[in-house]
This record gives sequence, C-alpha cells and structure tokens, in this order.
Amino acid sequence: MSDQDARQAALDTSRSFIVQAPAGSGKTELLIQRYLALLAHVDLPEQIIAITFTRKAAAEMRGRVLQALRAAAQEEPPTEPHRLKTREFATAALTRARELEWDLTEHTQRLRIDTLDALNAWLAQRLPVLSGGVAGAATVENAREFYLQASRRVLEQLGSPGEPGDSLRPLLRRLDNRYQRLETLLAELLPSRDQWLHYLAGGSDTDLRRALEHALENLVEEQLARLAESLPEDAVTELVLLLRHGARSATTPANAALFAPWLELDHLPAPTAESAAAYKALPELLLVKGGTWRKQLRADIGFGAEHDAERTRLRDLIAKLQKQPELQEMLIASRKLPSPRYDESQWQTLAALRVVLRYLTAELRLVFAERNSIDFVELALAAQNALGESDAPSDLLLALDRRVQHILVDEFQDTSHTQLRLLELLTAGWQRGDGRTLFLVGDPMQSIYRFRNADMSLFLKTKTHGVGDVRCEPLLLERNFRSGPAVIDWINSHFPSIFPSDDELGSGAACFYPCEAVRHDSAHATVELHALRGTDPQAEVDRVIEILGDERDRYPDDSVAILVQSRSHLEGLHQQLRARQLTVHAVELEAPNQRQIVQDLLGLTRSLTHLADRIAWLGVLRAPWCGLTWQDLQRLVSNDRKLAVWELINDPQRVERLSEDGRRRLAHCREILQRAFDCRAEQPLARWVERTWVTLGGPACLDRSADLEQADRYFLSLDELERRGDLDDPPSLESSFSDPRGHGESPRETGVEIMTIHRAKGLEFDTVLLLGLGRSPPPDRGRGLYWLERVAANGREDLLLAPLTATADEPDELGDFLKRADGERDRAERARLLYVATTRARDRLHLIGQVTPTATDPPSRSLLAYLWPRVQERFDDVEPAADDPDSAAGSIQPVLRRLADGFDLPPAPAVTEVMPLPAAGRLRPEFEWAGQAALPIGTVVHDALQMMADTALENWNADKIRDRMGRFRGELRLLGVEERELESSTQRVIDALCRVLEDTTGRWILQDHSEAASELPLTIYSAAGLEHVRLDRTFVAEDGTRWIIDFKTSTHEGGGRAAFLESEVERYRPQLERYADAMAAIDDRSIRVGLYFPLLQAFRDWAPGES
Amino acid sequence: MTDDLPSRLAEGATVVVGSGLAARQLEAFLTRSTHAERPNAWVSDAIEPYPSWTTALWSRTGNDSRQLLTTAQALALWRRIIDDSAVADRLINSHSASRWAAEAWQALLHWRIDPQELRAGAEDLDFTSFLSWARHYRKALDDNEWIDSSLAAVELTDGGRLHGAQDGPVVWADMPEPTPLQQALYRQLNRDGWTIAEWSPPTVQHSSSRVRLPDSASELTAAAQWAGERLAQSPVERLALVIPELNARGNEVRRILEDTLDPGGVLLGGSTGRAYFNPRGEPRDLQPPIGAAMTSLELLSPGGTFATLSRWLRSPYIASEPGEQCARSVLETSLRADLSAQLSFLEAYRKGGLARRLRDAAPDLAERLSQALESVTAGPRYATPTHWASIWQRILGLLGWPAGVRDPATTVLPLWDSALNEFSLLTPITGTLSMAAALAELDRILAQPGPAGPIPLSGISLLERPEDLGPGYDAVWVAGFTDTHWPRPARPNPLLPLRLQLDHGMPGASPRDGLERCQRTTQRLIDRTPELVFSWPGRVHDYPAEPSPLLAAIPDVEPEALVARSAPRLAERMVRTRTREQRDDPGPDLEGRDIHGGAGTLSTQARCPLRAFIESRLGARPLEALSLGLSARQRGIITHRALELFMRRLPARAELVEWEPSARDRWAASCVDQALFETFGPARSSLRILYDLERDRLLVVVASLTANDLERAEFQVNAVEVRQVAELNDFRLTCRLDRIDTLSSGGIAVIDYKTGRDARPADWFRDRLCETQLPLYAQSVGAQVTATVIGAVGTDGVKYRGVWAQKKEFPGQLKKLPDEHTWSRQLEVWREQLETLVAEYAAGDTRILLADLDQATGSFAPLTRVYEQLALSRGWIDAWTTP
Ligand code: SF4
Repeated sequence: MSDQDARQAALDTSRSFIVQAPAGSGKTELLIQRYLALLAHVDLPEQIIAITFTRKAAAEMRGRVLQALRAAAQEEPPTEPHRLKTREFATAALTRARELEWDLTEHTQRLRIDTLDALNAWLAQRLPVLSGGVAGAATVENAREFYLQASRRVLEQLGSPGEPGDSLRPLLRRLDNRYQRLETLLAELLPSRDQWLHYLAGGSDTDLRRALEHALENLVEEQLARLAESLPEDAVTELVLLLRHGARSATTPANAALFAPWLELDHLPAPTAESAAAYKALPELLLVKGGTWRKQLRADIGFGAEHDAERTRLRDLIAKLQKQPELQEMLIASRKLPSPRYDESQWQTLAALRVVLRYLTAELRLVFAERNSIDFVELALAAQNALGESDAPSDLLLALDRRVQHILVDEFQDTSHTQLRLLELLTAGWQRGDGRTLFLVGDPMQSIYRFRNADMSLFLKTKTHGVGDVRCEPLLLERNFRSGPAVIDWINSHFPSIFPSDDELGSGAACFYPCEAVRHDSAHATVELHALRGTDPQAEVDRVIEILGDERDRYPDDSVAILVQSRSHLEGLHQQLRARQLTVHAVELEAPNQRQIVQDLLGLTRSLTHLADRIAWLGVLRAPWCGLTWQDLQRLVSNDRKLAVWELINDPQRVERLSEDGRRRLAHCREILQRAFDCRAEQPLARWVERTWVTLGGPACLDRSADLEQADRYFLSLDELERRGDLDDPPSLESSFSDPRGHGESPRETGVEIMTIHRAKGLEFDTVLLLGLGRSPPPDRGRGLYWLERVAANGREDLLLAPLTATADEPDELGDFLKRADGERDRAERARLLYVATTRARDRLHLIGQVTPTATDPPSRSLLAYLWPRVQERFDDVEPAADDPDSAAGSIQPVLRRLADGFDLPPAPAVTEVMPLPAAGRLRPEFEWAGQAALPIGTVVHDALQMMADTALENWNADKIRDRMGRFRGELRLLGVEERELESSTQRVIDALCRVLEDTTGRWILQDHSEAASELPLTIYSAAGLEHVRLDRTFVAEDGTRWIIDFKTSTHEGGGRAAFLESEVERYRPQLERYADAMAAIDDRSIRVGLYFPLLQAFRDWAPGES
Repeated sequence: MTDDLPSRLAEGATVVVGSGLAARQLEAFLTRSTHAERPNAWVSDAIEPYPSWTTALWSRTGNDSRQLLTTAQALALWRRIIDDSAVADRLINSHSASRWAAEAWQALLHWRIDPQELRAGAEDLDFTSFLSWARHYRKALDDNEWIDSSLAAVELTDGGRLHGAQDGPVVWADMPEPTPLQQALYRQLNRDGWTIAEWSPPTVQHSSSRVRLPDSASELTAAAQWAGERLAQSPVERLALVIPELNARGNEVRRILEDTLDPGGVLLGGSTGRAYFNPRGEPRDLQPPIGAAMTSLELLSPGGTFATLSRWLRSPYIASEPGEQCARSVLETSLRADLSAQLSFLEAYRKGGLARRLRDAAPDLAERLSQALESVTAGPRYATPTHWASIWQRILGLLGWPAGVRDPATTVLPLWDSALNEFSLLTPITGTLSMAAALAELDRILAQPGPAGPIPLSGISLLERPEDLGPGYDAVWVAGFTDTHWPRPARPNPLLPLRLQLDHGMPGASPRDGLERCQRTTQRLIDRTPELVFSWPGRVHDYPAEPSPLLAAIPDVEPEALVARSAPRLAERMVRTRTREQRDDPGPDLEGRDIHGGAGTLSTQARCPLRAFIESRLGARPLEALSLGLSARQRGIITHRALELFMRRLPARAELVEWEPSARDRWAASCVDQALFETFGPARSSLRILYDLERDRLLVVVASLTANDLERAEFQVNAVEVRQVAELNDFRLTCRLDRIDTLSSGGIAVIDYKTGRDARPADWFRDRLCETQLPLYAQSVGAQVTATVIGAVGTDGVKYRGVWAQKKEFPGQLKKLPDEHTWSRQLEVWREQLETLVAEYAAGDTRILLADLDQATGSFAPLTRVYEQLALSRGWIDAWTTP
C-alpha cells in the first residue's frame, strides 16, 4: 500500500488500525484528522477517547483539534493540501457539534484527549467503591518514601509469630541478614507491582509454581522449536546417528552425561521441555565453547582418532549445517536455556518471597490510606479492578454514560503490559463491525521507555493478534515531513544494519523501515560526524562550543538542541555555556544537591533543626555569610569532639581564642542565629530557614540570580518535606534533592536546549548535537530480583521469574538467562535511542564521539558501538589529543569566599504602609479547653439560661427544669460528654439552673429588665477588622446602670472559695472589660460588669477599670 | 432594593446567605458603607449562613427532643458507617467515600428525592453501597434521636412548622442557584405569611480584562503586585484574589504573597503583619508548636519510633532546663548508633535502656517524660475523644509544652484548644478509639482551617472558587482561568447513577449544565466587580495552556498595563550587592604530635585531605544513618569482636586440628554470644529474632574462618586485637590490628578482618597509598613481616586475600609484591608513603582531590563547599573581587 493510500485508509472510521508511523511522518496530523472524522460520526464527543503519552502531548493534540475546529468556523480555507483535508473533517465535525449542541469550543474538556493516567483517574473517580476508594487520594509522582515505609513495616514484623515473620526469616538468611538489602529489594519491587501482582496474588503455591514453570517450559519449547525448524530436514537422520554415537563413545563423564539421553533415542524428539536435555547435546556436538562451528573433533565427545568414519561424517554434517542461516545462533541460544524447573531451595525462597510480597502490598495500601495519597500504579490497578470486576466492562462504561465508541492511542510502542490490559478491558465485548474502533499509532523504532515498563513487543503482538478480540489492520507510513534529505539519507543508510532484519517478538527488537524525504528545500542540511580521540571529555565540550558558535553565526534563528544518552555525559557543559553567556535551557539535567546554593541551604536547614550536626554547623560558620577561616574553626572546636557547636559558640572563653576578625564574624552570625531560635515558632519551617538565610546575607553570596530561583525551589520542596513543623531525619535531607527530575529550571523561550534523548521524544530541532556518542551510560545497578514479562509466540503473556540470589555473582541459570535477556533488550533499546536522537534533527545533525587513543572499539554500551562498522575509519585517521597529565589526578586548593567587611543588608524595599493587616489580636477565650465536661455543661447551661430569660422567668421552677432532663442529657451527649459522666453532668446542669432559680441574684439577672438581652451578639471594629463577641446577659437596671454579665459554670473543690472567685475575676477581667468598652460605644450609661456562677450561687461585679 | 439592605437589617431583618464564607464577605461589604457613621462597636447585624439559619429555625419551631448533628459529626457518622460496612475492606480508606456519601445524601434531599425509595441494580456496586449506607445512616440518626441539617431543612419545609413562627422579616441575599428544596422552603415561607424577599448585589459599572502570564507562579506574583500597587494608591480598597487550588497550594501562595506584599518580612522578625486575609481561616497545623504537641503524643503512643524520639529530643517546644537543649541533640546522635533505635519508643524506654540514657543526658527532661509516661500507662488503651483530649492535655502540661513560645495564650493555645474541642465533639459518633486512631482524627482536624480571625474591611482577601466571590470588592483578580479549569469539567456524584442526576438536573451532571452554571458565574463576577482581571498561565507543567473559552469576549491586556515595574525582592537586590572577597585560606598546622584517628585518618588523608582535616581535626563526622536491622558498622563491630574472642586462645594450627569439633563449636557459640551481648545490651530480649539471625550468621563466619585456617600450613596465633602506637616523622598515631600470626617459615603475618566495603590488596600498591592500616602496622613489626593479609568477611564466610610468600600459607587470593620488591624494600616504600601522608596532614592540608571527589560530597558538602570550589576551579563562576 502506498503511503498515500495508507493515510487515506487510516481515515476510514469504521475500521480499526494499528499504524506504524516513523519519526517525522506526521502522525499527529493523522491522529487529528481521524479524531475529527470520528467526531462527525458520534452522538457525544465523550464517546471518543484519545490517549497520549504525556500531558504535554494531550494539550498539544487538544489544542490542534480546537484550532482546526475554530479555523473551520472562519472563512478562508488554507492552501496546503493536508491542511485542506483537516479542514474538511473539521467542518463536518463542527456541523455535527452544532447540530447536537455540544458547545465544543466553549467546553473544550468534552474532548477526551488525555493520558492514560488521567483516564485511570477518571475511572477511579467515577467508580469509587469498585476502584477501592483511591479516587479522593492525591496521586504522587515519586512514591519512593511510601515504598520504603511499607517495606520497613513488613520487616518490622520479623519477630511476630506466624506470617510474615516466618517467611521473612528465610529470606533474610538468604540475603546474609542484610536488612538493608531486603528493605531495598522490597521497596524496589513495589513500583512495578502491576507486573507481578496479578501473577502472584491468587491461587496456591502449587498453582503458581506450575504457572511459572509452565512459562519456562514455553520459553524452552519455543526456542527448541525454532532450533528444530532451522535444522534442514535431510540432515536430521545423520545428526541423530552421530549424537547416538557421541552418547556411546564420549570419554569424559560430563560429556557422557550430556549425550546420555541419546542412548534411548532414535529420532529427533518433539521440541518439548522434556526433551530439552537431549537438545542440549546438539550445540556440544556441533559448536566449540566460544560458539563457533567445531573444526577440531576430539575424543572427549566421542570423535577421537579411532572413530575415523564418524569423524568424516560429522565434518560433512557440520559443513552442511554451516550453510544454514541462523542455525548457529539458535544453537548458541539453546545452550543457555534455563532449566524449566526450580530446585527445591529456590522454590522455597520464592514461596517465602511471595508471602512477603502479599504483606508488602497490604502494608503499602495502609501507607496510602494513612497519607491519603497513592502512586500511579495504584491508580492503574484501581481502574483495572473496577473494570475487571464487571463481566461486561463496556456495560459499566455505558452506565457511566461513556459508551466508548472509539479509542485512539498515540505512542503505542511505549505501552506497558498493564496499559494494554486496560485497553483490553475497555474494549471487552466489542464485536467486529459494531461500529467501534481502535486506532493505535506508534513506531516500534522509537520505543525507548523500557525503564518505565514499556514493552515494544506488545506493538508487534498487537499487529498480529490485535487487542483482546479486536483485530487491527496494520498500516505503514513512509514519508518523512520533518528532516531534510541529508538527514534522511544518513538514517536510511545507517540503520538497516543496526536494527534486525525482522521484527523479533521474543526479544522485543524491531526491524528498520526506511523513510522517504518529503522536504527537498533544505540547502543547509548536513550530517557531520566529529570523530575525536583522547581521554579528556573536555575535548567534546570544546567541539560543541565550536559548533554552537558556528551555528549562531550562520543560522541565528534556528532551534538547537544538545542531546545526550545520559546526564553524566554532560561534564559541566551547561555551566560552561552559561559562563560564556549563552542562553541555555538545561532540562532536568542536574541534581539540585550538586549545586552549592542547595548545599548551603541543606547545611543551614540541617543545623537549625539539629544542634548536634557538627558538619552542618561548621558549614554554617564557613559559608560566605560568616566566612570563618580553617584556623578559626579549628580554634573554636579543638580538643572537643562532643559538645554541640552552638554550645561552643556560646562559650566566651572559646570564642576568645579566635582571631579578631573571626570573633567579629562569629558574633554577628551568632546574634542572628539566636534571633532565629527565638522566633522559630512564628513561621513554618521553610519560611524560618529562608528568613534566617536572608538575614544572614545568604542571597548576597550568590554568583548569579538563577541561583536565587534554585533557592526558591528549595524552599518550596522543603515545605513539602516538613511534617509537624520539623523534619523526620535532618541528616538524610539531602537524599530528597538528588533527583534532577522535578527540579528543572522553568522553560525559557529562547536559547540552546540541553536534554537527554528520552526527554527529546516527540520534539524536533533545526540542529541537533548528539554528544558523548563514545561513552557508556552509567552501569546498571542490577536488580534484586529478575523477572521478565514476555509475550510468547502464541501471543500469551507469561512471567519468567528468577530465584532470589544473595549476591550478584552467585551462579543461577535462570537468573543469568533473564539478565542476558534483559541485556539484549537494553541493547535493542539503545539502538532505538540512537534512532530517536538522530531523527530529531530537521536540517543538521552533529554526531560527536570520542574514543580513547588506543581503543580499537568503542565501549559496547555506547551509541557509537552501533555505528562503528561504518565509521571506524574516520576514527583511525584522527590524531589523538595530547593527554592532560593532571586532569584526573589534580586537586583543588579551596579558597575562602565570604562577604567582605562592611557588608550591610540592603534596606528592605519600602513597604506599602497600609498593606499588611495588624496581626490578629487575642482570640476568643471560648476556645479554651476546659476539661472533659466543663465546656458542654457550660454550653447547655448558657442555652437554658437564655431560654429561661427569654420566656417568662416566673413559669420556671425546679420541676420544669427536671422535665427537660432528657433533653439536657441528649445535648450533653452530642457535645461530647462521655457516657460515664452523662448522669453527673446532667445533674450538674440541673443543679446550676435550679440554683439560679433559688438565688435572688440569679433571678435578678434573668428577670425582665429594660433593654434586657441574652446572648447578645456584638461586633467590634478595630484596625484588625470586625470581631464578634456574645454577651451572656445584659440589661439596664432600675438605677440606670448598664449591666454586662457573663455566666461561668465553673465550680471549685475544696476550700478557698473566695480566692477561687477572685482568681476567676482576674482571669476574665480583660474579656469583660472589652465587652464593656464595646458597649460603651453603643450605650453611654454607666456600665458595670459581673461574673455570675450559677453552681456557686456567687456573683462578682465591678465597674470597668476598677480593681 | 439594592441599597436598602442595611436599612432592612436596622429594621431587624435577618439576612440569609449561602455560607459562612458569604456571610463574612457580605458583612465586610455592608459595614464598609456604614462603619464611618457607626461607633467602633454595635449590635451585630443578623447575617446568617443558610445552614445555621435553617437549623436554628428548625430548633426554634418544633418541640422536638432530637439533637442536630454538626457537619463534622455527620461526616464522621458516614465514615463510621462506611468503615463498618461490607465493602470497607476494599476501600483504602473511607475519607472520600464518606464525603461523597454525605454529598449524595444532601443532593438527594435537596432535589427532593427520598433515598429510601431508590433501588439499585445488583451490578452497580457503588450505588448499592451508597443506598445501604444511607439506610444505616438514617437508622443511626433515628436510634440516637439525632437529625442532620438537610433532614432538618426538609422537615422545616414540609412539616408545617413555619406557620406563625416568624419573628422578623427575612431577606435571602445573594443566594445564586438555589436547590429545589431551598426554592420550596422559600415558597413555603411565603405561603405561611412570612415577610421574605430576595436581594442580589447591584450590578456595578464594570470593566474586565484578561491577561496571560508565563506560568502560575508569575500569575500569583503579578496579582500580588497589582493588589499591592492598588493599595499603595488607595489603602481603603477592598480586593480579592481568586486562586484555584488555594488550599493545596497554600505554602506557595503564602510565600509569594508575603514576599510581594511584605518585602521586609523575609527577614527574621521583619514581618509587619498579615499580608492578606483568608476568610476560610488557615490550617492550624501550620504552627510549628502544634506539630511538636502531636510529636509528643505520638511518642507516647504505641506508634512512637526512633524518628519520633528524634523529633521530640530536638524540639524546642518541650521544656527542659537551660543547658539541656544541646545535650538532647547530642544524645540523639549517640542513640542513632544504638540498637535500641530499632525498637518502638515505649519498648526502648522500658526495656532497651533508653530511660537511663535519657536520665544521664537530660535529667530534667527525663523527669518530665517519666511523669507523662505514667499518665499514659495509667490510662486506658481505648478511650473516647473527650477522654483522650483530657489525657493529652495533662501530658502536654507535664512536658511543659509549649516551651519557648512567645505569648502562647494568644497564638498557639487557642488554635490547639479549638481543635481539641472539635475533636471532643466526635465522642458520640466514634465511641472509644485507640490512641493512634484518635491522633489520626486530631491530625485531620488540625489540617482544617482554624478560626478566620477578624474580618478586615479593606486589603486583600483570598478565595478559592469564583462562585465564592461576595459583593462589594473594588477590584478582583481571578487566576488560573485556563480552558481545562473553566468551565469546570463535569463532576457528577459518583455514588449516584448519572441518569438520576441528569433527570433531576443536579449540578455538574451534564456538560451543558456545567457550562451554563460557569457562564452564569462568570457573568456574576463581571457584574459585581468594578475592575476585574482574569489571568491564565501560558504554561502548565511543561505544556502550553489556553485561556478559558468563556473569556473570549473579554479584551486582552499586557501584564505591564496592570503592574508597573515592580521593585525587585530584597533577596534579588542582595544578589547584586557584591560586597565580598576571596582569599587563600591555608589550613593550620597540627597542634601537638598526636594524629587523631590513627590509620583511618591517613587512609582518608590519602583520598581527601580536606575530609581528613574535617573529621580528625575538626571532629566533625556524619551522623549515623538510621537503618533497619544492624547497620554495617554494628555488624562490623560484632564480627570483629566475635573473631577476636574466638582467637583469644591464641591457638596454633595443630591445636585447631586437635580441638574436638563439638567443643570448638561450643567455644565459638560462647564467643558469638558474648560479642552479641555486648552490642545488643538490654535491647537483646526485644530484638530476639535479630539476635538469633545474627548469631546464625556469625557461627557460619567463625566456622568458615576455622575451616580456612585448617587449610593453612602450620601457624601460631600470636596476638589478637593489638593496639600499637606508631611514630612517623615524630608524629604519633595509634593503630589497631586484628591478628598477628607466626608462620611456619618464621615470618609474621599481619591480618585484618574486613566487613562491608570491598577490601583490595591492590590499594596497598598505588602511587598514593590509600589503604594504610596494614602497611602502617607492618612498619611496627618490621623486618619479620612476610605476609599482609585481609580476611574478607562476606556472605559465605571469610576469604583470605593479600600478599604472602608461599601459596599454602593462606588459602585464597594471593597477590605478589610489585616490581619484584623484597619485603624490606616494600616496607621502605610504604614508610615513605606514610610519611608523606603524615607530613601533609600535619601541615594542614585542605585540598580536595579530583580523583575521589565523592569523599567531599554528601553530608560534607556544606562544609567542604566542593561544588563551589569545583565551579571556581573550572572557571564556571568568576572569582570574587572586592569592589
Ligand atoms: S542554653 Fe543554648 S547552648 Fe546551652 S544547651 Fe541550651 S541551646 Fe544549647
């Protein structure tokens, strides 16, 4: 099918497709066209779900759809043909939207274009119970802390009788009692639990073992079948005869054992797991250890000189087999096949691990519950559970008013098994021809997110097997709209030998599809290889600077990006560019803790929160804002290794020992720190540290204002880390600042971009510089546990799980096999990384690689290794750079940088005087915690007194009060009085009320007076604003005095009643006088205030201001 | 009827508004126009939020013994019911489910649907669950004679209570989008002869504009500057900033607003007051002392761990004698290295010997703690919130909380007390709780806003939702108006079937309805605000964002039109001061002749002189990392000790051979036990499993050592754990060696056991000697040395590595002396190398070696300033010159 036809077909809204769309093939436009075309056919826009890989991609796609819709509403049609087509679809969609009143352009969120995470969140939100109640929880990007906590909590149960203790102990023994290792192992397993959980969750141990061993069998059988297939039929009989001969004649016991199965066999057995042992003899017979075809025939395999006839036959056979393509590879591969069975001790460990993992996931859920936060995996699992619970998930969706009709998925090559499962659930029950379609777009050559569990083989699998029951027709796009011919030629000529010639489902490697350049406009297109020989990475950096200079001169308006495979390959490139006054946007390249400003703040935070963190404290004194010399620092601490530095600073005798300059500096710093400690309670932690830093003069010690941004980000992060006004463990604070992600600079609109290749996915630049081509990425840390989710040849997904080993070098067949498989996949993925990197370039591609002067090959994990066969000679001619003898062996003699004498804080910018509101004054005393039942009793008594005063007091008597006992009881109970105190409290309420009635003063207070009011609300206006108070009782007595009376239901036990009342008066005096002040503004009569104690039948009154 | 609201109030009318938030805003609005004529106090205007007005009305109009639940109580009841329900197990927690259930319940009642008449299909688990919860909820209300505010409103509307109950006119003010129940109540009031009217704020002369800012932070900054400049012009203006996700972004918002509006506030004690007013109130747990109270309580609960203890010891808000504060932190550092750090606090305190160590380090604190602990121990394990509250108050009192806080009675205590009061109100709902569960409840309450405080009549108010904007602001800035934020995405209640919600036109159920509501809200904002600015961030995360389509008709302005060039922040101005200097700073000579730290110091000197200076001369070392189980260091200590004890008998190989295996094993076991005993101390019984596992491991190590030694040619153990003072260049340093053997050749083997880090004999032969222990020790043995050997303790026992003369002397990895050296030549080489290191060290060497930069990073980085020095040496930053 031609490219043109493929694009045409892709817009058929009645069919499902999987489109392979190489870099620059305009897939986004195609997706948009298809989306618009679908819009014209659905009843609701929500019936189409478009899934993108990132939020950014979603925003872009949505923006472009909207743009198309808006453009369609305008008059002028565009001129480019593909835009015309887009307009056509947009017009149809717009008509539909208007007909059905979708309000699309006002309500843009009705376009369901989102990431899978967002879709999961939506599902969880809509099905809260089914999805396990995760919806209200916050979703956190980095849940490492939660994983560690869950892991720790499981380990804490080590000593508990029963599980998980019983299973933890063997695991720990297996790991040489290294808690840390087990803790990390468990914590590191959690982020990928979506992969193993459903395999390990249900069923018995026996079932699991069977399933795992079955997966192994599958693997072995597939491999053997491929081996058997690649044996030419006419050679099989001879091969069998010679193997039998080997079995009879091998001279070493090891070989005899290896060939032994052939004593019983007279034909090539079917390639089943049982016959694996027999097959393993094949490579021994035909190949030597290194994997090449056998030339020397020796006695140890039964072909000594005495067996001359057989030797000749075997030689002939080998000569014949040698011609067979791929046979050698198959033989090598089958040699390393693991045994399809676990041995007992391996299995015991796995079984124990399984138990522990169950507890681990349960603990993780508890941690999530406590923090009310989850990770994205949990969200995905929740969405899946919700859908999976239903027999017909699509019915469920229907009930949610999401009769999903069409699903579009972008970047399908980077789908994980979990994501695919969700797609399967979403499409469960779809029937051929029912009008529902899938549209999957991606490029296997650009799959680079294995570290996020993407598995490219799922793309290949889907091409043949579809998704669930939905078959997708494969389409291939070939035209490249992005790059100029020079770049495309280079790609087309270099990659066929880098990628395999066929897609390989098992190892997840994709073959290369060449592309065809559409653009012919670029006169400035080049691909240049910059071959360097030497050891100093600076040489590469210098070359980059040269190229950039040239670019800036010749193409000042073009976009430029520098890409690297790994952050570690940058070697300070961005700092150097900045030092050269270039505008650089380094995208999440540098861990914050590698900046001195962050270290300064870390040190300050550590010292403020931990008085005994001596390194941090001395750091504060050494930092430029204080700037003590080494000599002074030593004088300050010498002969003391115990006391806190803060204590030493406060010891005048010690301080005496310092130089005069040192004493002055120290005193200044000490005074500020003292102030900091004095006011710690007045602000949250991060603010406190910030204020201290600024007051010390921290910002004056920065080299550039970008550091201030970094400081701002530090304080925001510190805010996140603060809990309960403090840090859990100040010394380990740094670990929260070691990840470059999430701490990036805010994007700049211009300048050179520097980023990793992963980050460049989906982007394009006029010029691309690929740096560090000859360098390996940092070595893999290795994993605690190896497993592989693998698509079997029949499309089934299996889990291969290696046993747990104590050390990385412990021999383990299956583990080694999986490590190798992992390595192969990595290798394939690095090739794709190179493809992604090079296809980002529109016009100019600079490949910069350096190998050591003597190397015959670049490191095998470098990107250059892939290109080597084609470019080696370019390196042969290069003159190695002279070695800088002390580049690595050198040292730095630290200098002291500090604020100079005479530094003064600049005056604070003028405060707009009126702006800040005076801090809130005293709060109302009614919040005061008054002991278990006192407050409720007070409340109920107050309410009742109000009622008694408001209704005629004469009608009240003790009986009537007692009648209300049940009600009082209910009120008290609801106000938090405990059951056991209810009786006595109720009684107390009744007592209080009855005593008021018995007491003449009480009656006098409650009786009707002129201007009497109970619970009178007053508003007080002050500079701080409006405040509200309530007067329990106020009235004007016969003598014209205005009374303000507060009721206090306090009692006092024991003697000293008078003293008690006196203290109560003192306590409430300010409050009542405030009331009086307020009342004075309303009423100019003379005012008297009083406290009335119903339970004590006591009354204390005074004129405000009188003591 | 626009301007007569004050007069209606003066006539005794009750003004009913949608919420407390609305009430506060309306009050400020009304007061602003009248307070000039008023004195500074008056009888409050009757402005009532709808919920409290209806409930008060309900209470007043019936003669009913039922009690009204507060909103928090109702929510807690939902939570209890959900926790007790069949589906509780599958929910990670019931927070959101209970919120939705309460909302769904309220929606049903407000849309006049009787929950009891609804039926759910079996497969709709969410709706089924809700209906069952609702039944239980209703039953719980009835059983306890409780009622909630929605039900009360229903009864009020339908119950015939209103007739003749009026005590003054009523005005419904600014209540947009009333629900069917509210409408019905209004009609009923009318029918029952009440004087009732509606009031909406006047439409004012208005102008609005929209502005794009680069991102949400610059939006906030611009809004704050805009507000600041306006207030500078006219201090009496009343302004509002509407900020989406205000609560979630609380810290960021506070920071930007304070920085912009109160620039001096970035200095200690420089703040002049509140920069803004949050009518909702601010979370109570922002106050650090409140966090310390929670830490103290957690410490005494079964959930208290070493991390809690660490916070508690470091907290300044727990009282102790002056002079103890530093000692507490020092104690914290030594406890880190202790095995009792593995235990829960209570266990460590009671059985792990912690109590004694506390007493020794900080007697006053220890005394307070022991009294507080008594209080806890004497108390129940389960108690009601009310009871817990009183226990906690007592504990905090004993601990002297909140120490060191200025004027706690007006700052911290009111907030804390109000939280405890709210917490106590949960007693009738939750019944008794464990202390951990009770603390979790209190935590939740503390995260809620506390009382809002006085309501200012001018200045800046913060709001989260555009719907919440009250009347009478002079100007308003609404931030975050992107197309994904506004109109709001449809948000139907997930517990109710969508169909039901659509049929009844519940808010947000259909996109259309949502859109129309947002359109009306937008219009309302415009109508009531003389000057309105909408802003949106041009970028959200890493992607461009579009303005809300509902702003299409509003004219664009440039940010400069709204904000004059603003003064830079204080910190920005400080960056430019450049009063600074740079100078060489040689390290001082060593005082005295002793090198602290011995061979270890020299090894460090070899890798990083500056670090050696810091560790050994300044006595500053990283604090022990907190880890689970035994740390590498602890394992090292125990292993060394066990091997030392085992070899104490100084056996010769022949004796090892003759030693009866079972007797040997017994001896090994007793040595191992002894070694473990010394490290575990009193924590032993609590850490039994850890102890046993470690014991098993050590027995394997000892056995493997014996097995290895049995493979060796004849030898005699000469000494174990030897300490020696070596002299180099007149400097003294101590070194310690694990073991010295005499070999059959008569030569001497010096042996060192290594755990943890890979030990490589190759390090003895580098140009810069970076493993100094054995070379140093070999010096003191002198010419007799014929073997330097490492016993590497690994997963599977001990392995020998090193240099020895004959293969059979040690099984393991044999390395040759380089360059055909003889032993005496090698000793000379080592001596020279060691002397170099000693000389460097004594001269105050403070270099950082590029070859091993890592030595100067990590916790050392604030003191080594390695990143600054690196950047400087590479020319990435400029040298500082005094201006
Ligand atoms: S008084 Fe100051 S120096 Fe002394 S212990 Fe307390 S905090 Fe430390």
